[in-house]
Amino acid sequence: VSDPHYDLAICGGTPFACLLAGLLTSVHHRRVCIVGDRWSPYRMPHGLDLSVMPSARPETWAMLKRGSAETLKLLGGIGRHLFERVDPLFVAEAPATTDYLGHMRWLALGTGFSAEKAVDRAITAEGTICRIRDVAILAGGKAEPALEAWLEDLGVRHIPGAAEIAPRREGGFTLQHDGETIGATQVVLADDEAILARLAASERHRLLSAAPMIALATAPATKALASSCVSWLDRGVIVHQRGGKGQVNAFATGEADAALPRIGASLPGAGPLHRAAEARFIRIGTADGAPLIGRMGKQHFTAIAGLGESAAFLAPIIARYLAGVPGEDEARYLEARDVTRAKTRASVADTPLAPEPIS
Amino acid sequence: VKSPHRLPADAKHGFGGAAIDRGKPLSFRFNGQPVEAFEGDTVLSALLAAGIETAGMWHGEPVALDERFSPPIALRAKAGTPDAAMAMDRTPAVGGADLVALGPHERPLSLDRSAPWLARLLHHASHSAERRLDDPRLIEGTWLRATPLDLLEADAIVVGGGVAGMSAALATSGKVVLIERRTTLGGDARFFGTIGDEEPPDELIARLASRIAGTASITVLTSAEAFALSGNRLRVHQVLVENGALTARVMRLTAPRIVLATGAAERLPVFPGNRAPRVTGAVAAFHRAERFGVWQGHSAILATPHNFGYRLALLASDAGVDVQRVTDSRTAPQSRFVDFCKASGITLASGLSPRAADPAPQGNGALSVTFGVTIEGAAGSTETIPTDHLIAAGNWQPRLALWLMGGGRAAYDPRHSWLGARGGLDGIAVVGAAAGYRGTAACVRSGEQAVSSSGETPEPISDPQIDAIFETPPGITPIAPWRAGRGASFLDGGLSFALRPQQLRKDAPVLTPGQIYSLSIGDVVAAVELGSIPVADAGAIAEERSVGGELADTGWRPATTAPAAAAPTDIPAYLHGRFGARPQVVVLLPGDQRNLEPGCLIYPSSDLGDPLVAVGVVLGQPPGVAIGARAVVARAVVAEGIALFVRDTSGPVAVQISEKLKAPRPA
Repeated sequence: VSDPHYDLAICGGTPFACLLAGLLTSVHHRRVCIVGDRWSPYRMPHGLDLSVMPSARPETWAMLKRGSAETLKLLGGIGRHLFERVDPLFVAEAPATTDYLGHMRWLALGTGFSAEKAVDRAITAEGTICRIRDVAILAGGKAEPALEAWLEDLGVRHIPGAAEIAPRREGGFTLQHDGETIGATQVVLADDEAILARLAASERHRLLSAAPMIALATAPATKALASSCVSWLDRGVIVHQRGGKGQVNAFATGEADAALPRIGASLPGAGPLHRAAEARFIRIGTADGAPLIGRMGKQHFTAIAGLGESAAFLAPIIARYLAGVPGEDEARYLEARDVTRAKTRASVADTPLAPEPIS
Repeated sequence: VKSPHRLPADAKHGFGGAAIDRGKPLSFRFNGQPVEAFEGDTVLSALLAAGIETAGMWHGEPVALDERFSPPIALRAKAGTPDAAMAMDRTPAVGGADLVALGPHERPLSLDRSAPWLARLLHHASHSAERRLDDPRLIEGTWLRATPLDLLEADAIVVGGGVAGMSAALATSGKVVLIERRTTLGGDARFFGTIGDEEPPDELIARLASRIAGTASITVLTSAEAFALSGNRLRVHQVLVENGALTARVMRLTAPRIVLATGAAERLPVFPGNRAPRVTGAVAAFHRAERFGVWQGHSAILATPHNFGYRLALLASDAGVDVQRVTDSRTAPQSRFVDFCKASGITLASGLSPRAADPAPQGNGALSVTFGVTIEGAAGSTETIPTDHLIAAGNWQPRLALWLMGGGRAAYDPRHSWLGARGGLDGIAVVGAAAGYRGTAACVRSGEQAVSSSGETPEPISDPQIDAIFETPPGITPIAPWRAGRGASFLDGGLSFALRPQQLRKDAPVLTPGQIYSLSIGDVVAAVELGSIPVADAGAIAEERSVGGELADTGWRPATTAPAAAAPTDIPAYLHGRFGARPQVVVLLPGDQRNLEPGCLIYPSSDLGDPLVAVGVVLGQPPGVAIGARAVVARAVVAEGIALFVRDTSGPVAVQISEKLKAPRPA
């Protein structure tokens, strides 16, 4: 009996990794296994899955529009109540970020999102706020087990994250798990944990950055926050209060000592909140704020990074790209963000920082 | 309220209460009602002795007032300030004090003002601290928001005044601060008694305490609890009596060496009614009797998964308690204490663990206890047994909350059914029972080694256990099947109020409504044993949930100063490549008198609105220009003189290029 072989081994345990594996199996008819630790209901989530993310590139907004529509349709077929709707606020306080947010609002509006300038002095007196209405957010705690069940129904094999992966001399990869050898033509590192676990720092692309983050959950608040979802661009903080009242989840860049005061300052009007749980971890990002996709490391793993909070909602587009059947604009979008185009990254950079002079 | 739950002063084995002076009675008020106590009592021991046994109601169920959980208190006159909050089990009973329980009340506070006669009547009849334990505001009454005193520096801080902590303090040179939660040093060693040929705990504790008292470089803080650890800084809450008056303070302490000798907690067996009043852990029951002469009721049933439960049964029986029986979740346990119990005529039953503890029909705080068969493959329950007091013992869990708070790691150890510390932290050591040592001598040795400055690799510490043939090892903490109806099954005894899940559901939310606060380590271990947390995740989950403290608006704000003035032709990074390799920065003039909003898109036709076909972006107001805007546009647009439209909220606005800006020449 020959060893089992898969076209793709998707490494990761996030909803994005699950959606990618499921789409490649069900839509693109690839043989796929997923390599990662299963979702645990007691572990802290490391982020939100929102159908929009801060971006000042029109092509990214076009991808978000299309990708989120497809993803929501897919989720509707997988189960009920797997996503909710929120009206997130994006807050800019520094002058450069204010310009960035102003442009982002016009891009979102022009792409068909309901984006508007908001005024809420309880949130910021001097900064600016952009509200985007009717944004989808994956229902944490419901979406993850539903996606795992969907993969099981599709026959996607789950391989624990501890499996060892090595390149084969004749091409492709072998996965060793529990004494079994499994073959894979391509290995995709689909989330931060997979990249951190499978790629040594020296093997990661120079544009990839590893930064400390904390995720925090509070005991239920007695008051509703000014908005159930706020992304503070200059603070590196996102807060989300599910159901409009109750427990608050917050995510912030930086070490805990630096991040906690920023989180505390980003919950105006909530009163003192008891910290119920906290996780410290490393977030993989890109130096220029743009997505990065492509093979890297001596093992030539395909890594996907920099999709921010919207990775899950871009899964259909990434799946088409990996299956070799992207739309024309999708191919253009992702090829421009491929690791081989590092020299022309300036044309995809997506950060309000450091203005660069032009002639 | 008199003290109906005191053992006689001359009760055997010191169960008359070593800490209290019966020759010095005193009285204080709690929630308006008078409580009688003795000098040496804590507020908690005095309340329990007086029959105030309930902390409050949790979704309609009474929850015991005990060492695992008691609401914070304060002097009535200072009840509104976090700095005044105190812990019942660490607060000495002081004559004349007028104390109130903090946190949400079961009854509206306004009753005290609008109908004081009724409030007095209700208080007088109350056996409860009357808190609403299902209210998230419960936490608000604590000292978490108290203003800390100035930072105190030491060469070493030892947290925990048991035998390991005392040994660590004595082995350390320089200025040492020893922090003990209870009112006296000694820890839990007395509960276990003398093991083998070890020095008897009473003698060992007296010897170590005497040496500490004679060591000027050691500062002992009793009634003090370290509640937060970050780096090498601790936050400590202490209750003191100053000039005869109660006061509380929060201190910040720092030292290059911190020794965590926090001991091991007794796990809560999981069964319906496991936190009902009159259900007590074995260690707590021992301390209440040995320190304060407190014993709830006249009869008791002892349910244990370890041999020390039998020892407590013997001591209690000798002290005059009617020990109705000892049940053991293990089958055919062997121990010298089992033999002694048999010789004393105490009824013993093995292979049984508590199934439920319900209020007895006769009232008076008594319980009806049912036991279930724990033999694998067998099923069945005993008849209901009435008793005054159920002592439900559990296995041990090293107290690692501070270790985890400080960034330490943990992993589930299936050999001991506990979460143990893993790895290391710079400047922080875990010793004694907190490090998993079980014998008194091993705890002492680990304390001594914790601060060894010899630079040599410390010798391995021997922690021999008596052969299982003679002393059966502890069993796991019993967990009863889920039961519908009244009688909540809590996973642990603290503030989390985490419940035993009815069914193990994969889609349980990350924090279920019953799990309001952080999960304790005991909650996590119980969830592992229930199968609802995978063994591999247990350490990480405990690390995530072992946080404390509050989040508040610290006033932090990002720097919002404008960057150094950019050249008029500079464009931000996110516009690079958008309008060709060499876009043109221009000044636009709108067709009407209006300002153009920065960020708006510029189109070559009034019909267009898709950002993908935009040919430019408004950048902002150029300096010194009243009307018009700086913009970046595709160079071809400028060269070909194409009409341009800026799209803003009012629709397309025709604009004209009034000026092409040039980059300044390099200096």
